[in-house]
Amino acid sequence: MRGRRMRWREALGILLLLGGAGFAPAAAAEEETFSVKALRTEKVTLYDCNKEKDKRKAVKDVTRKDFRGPWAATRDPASPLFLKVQVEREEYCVRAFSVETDRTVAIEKGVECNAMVAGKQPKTGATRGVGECGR
Amino acid sequence: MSQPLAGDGSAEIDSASVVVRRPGPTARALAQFLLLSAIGVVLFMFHGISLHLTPWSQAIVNGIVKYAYPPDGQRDTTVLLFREENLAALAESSPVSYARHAEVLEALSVYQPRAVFVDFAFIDARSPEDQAALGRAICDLNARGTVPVYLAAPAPSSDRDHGAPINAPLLECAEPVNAQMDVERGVSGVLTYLHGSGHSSFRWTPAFAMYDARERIAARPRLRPEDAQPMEIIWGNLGSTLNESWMQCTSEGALRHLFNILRENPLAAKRTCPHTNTISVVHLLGPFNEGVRGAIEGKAVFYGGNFQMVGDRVISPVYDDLPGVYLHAMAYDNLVTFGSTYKRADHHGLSLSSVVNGLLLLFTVVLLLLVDKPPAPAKALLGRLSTVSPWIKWLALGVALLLIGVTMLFPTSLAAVLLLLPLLLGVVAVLHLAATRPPQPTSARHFLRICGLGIAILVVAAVMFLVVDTRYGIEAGLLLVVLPGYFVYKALVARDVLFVATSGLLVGAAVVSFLPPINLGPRNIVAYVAFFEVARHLMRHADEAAEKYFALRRAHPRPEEWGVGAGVLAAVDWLFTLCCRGDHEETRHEGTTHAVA
Repeated sequence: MRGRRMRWREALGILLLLGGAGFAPAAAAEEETFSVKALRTEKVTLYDCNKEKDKRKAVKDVTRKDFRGPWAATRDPASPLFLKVQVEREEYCVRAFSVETDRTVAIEKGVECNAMVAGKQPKTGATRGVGECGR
Repeated sequence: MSQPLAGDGSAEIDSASVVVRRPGPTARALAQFLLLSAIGVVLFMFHGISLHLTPWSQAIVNGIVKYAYPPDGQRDTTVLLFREENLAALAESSPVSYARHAEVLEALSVYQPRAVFVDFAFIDARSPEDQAALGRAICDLNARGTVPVYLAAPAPSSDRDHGAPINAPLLECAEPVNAQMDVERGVSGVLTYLHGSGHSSFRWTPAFAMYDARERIAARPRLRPEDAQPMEIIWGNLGSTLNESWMQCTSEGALRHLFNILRENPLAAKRTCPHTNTISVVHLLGPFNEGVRGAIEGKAVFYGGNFQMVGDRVISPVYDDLPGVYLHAMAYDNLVTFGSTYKRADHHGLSLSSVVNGLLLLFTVVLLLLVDKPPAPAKALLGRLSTVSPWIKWLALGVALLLIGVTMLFPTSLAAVLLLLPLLLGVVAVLHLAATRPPQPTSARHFLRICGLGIAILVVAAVMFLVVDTRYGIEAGLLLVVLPGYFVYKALVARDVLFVATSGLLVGAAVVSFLPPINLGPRNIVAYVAFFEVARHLMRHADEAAEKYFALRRAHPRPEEWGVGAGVLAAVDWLFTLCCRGDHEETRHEGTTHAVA
């Protein structure tokens, strides 16, 4: 009886391991690594990777002639508009459009979630507050 | 009793001791012509008929535009949209910061557009650092003058030539353009677009400025301010693969759509995906993207916003509610498509449009007077056409087709006038048909067959409409099913070949005249046919009423029997004589009146 219980536990353990192995590629996909081959702008600013993306600070600039690539890069989970790059063994964030990678990207529905551009909008009798000037 | 004849041929009758001078055939035809023309002018010049017919005409125009509008302008134009939802994704708020605009322009420069219009007016005070950053981004985008950049400037006010100023540091590498919108005319939803303004120095509106830059870069002849007038925008409604790749472009089901059409009008349900290729700032600021590159590289880019509760939205005949930047993009699209012969909005004064409008009305009135019961001289004259040699008729047709070809090959205002000649030939053909139309035989068996045919046409048309509407939209349904179905019904069931010929001629003329350079308004496409049909029925009723009246007059000749004086009765005689049509009736009514007298 005891032996049978042990076998069930072993089987469960094996299943969990197999399941974990099955999910592993998905997790790896999220952490997909690619390379930055070149800079698209004359000068690219490297930011710190503060999780609050609007509080990121510029650390230094890299010009095209100073670029020593390729840089290993991953997607920034905090913002789709940034990439995390490894430059001289330090991690920075760069604006995604400013660098050329070895990965082809296409426009997808998911990015804007089935956007509606034209269509009836409810009429309102108010004006939007303009917020703080210059912030 | 003998009837003395007046010098102009009209008859004088002695009715109960009152000499009644009745209008003769010429005076009668003239009076009917003037009355119909006056009614036509009132209906077409004022909004009585157009209010109800414009949506139907516009739906037909939309259908034609959908298949006839060339994609040249669409390929050359891209809207870059800062959407409401993008604010949250970018941790922004409205109004968007100068730093963010600078980032957007910097990203744009990476993709190398040909020219950029920024539909944000930078007139509020900001910190010198922010202004400097945005100014630098504009200069980088401008790339030392190779990429023209235009900034929206407020409309000129009465006391200043160019309205509130844009922050000066931003104009170092950019030009201001006049973002003033034209006033809305009527309720048609057809938007007009100003070309520019300015007393001391002229300033183009965005679309014209971008078109000017395009022509300048290509070293082609440029449009001069003195040759330009406000534009009536033709709203293209071609599909866009780019837009369909990320927007929700679904439409309602066929039955729901049909219900809305019947409850409101054919434009009740409009398109949700714009004609102009569009990307959002999130697409632009994301990783370098082949789709974005294809949309921006070498294209005219219109950068605008789509935020809630800030105004700047336009309603077109094709789309319910669009961000204002699409108005500029569509106007530019029209300029690329039609060049300097774009559709003019100016319907005031003696323009080619008003001349053609008047001529079409004139033709319609003449047709009304000559169909059904043509006067004897006209009948005799037109009857002679049947004796004309066939090769002369073919020659006339050939000349008409040649002139149409010339007009299409050389679309200038002068050549377009040549279209009036085929139109005239068409009118003559219809009149010829009117004069030589054989009488229709009727029998019980024939009647039943016609009824069956009518029901079959109705059922087939309804099913086809649902299918076409579901797959290709209401415009195609109207254009490909409803209009041809109605013509088939009139030709096969009502056997009204005259109506088919006349309305075909009028619709054809109005559709051709709608396009540049004649620029007739869209309402006229259906309005002329509706006017023709309604006026024709009214004239028949008037003729029948006159017949009844003179029958009563024959039965009750004395004024006392009518309870009015002799003078009043004479005036009524005169009025009903005006309603008479055709020479047969003329003779009969005249005989009646003689008997009365």
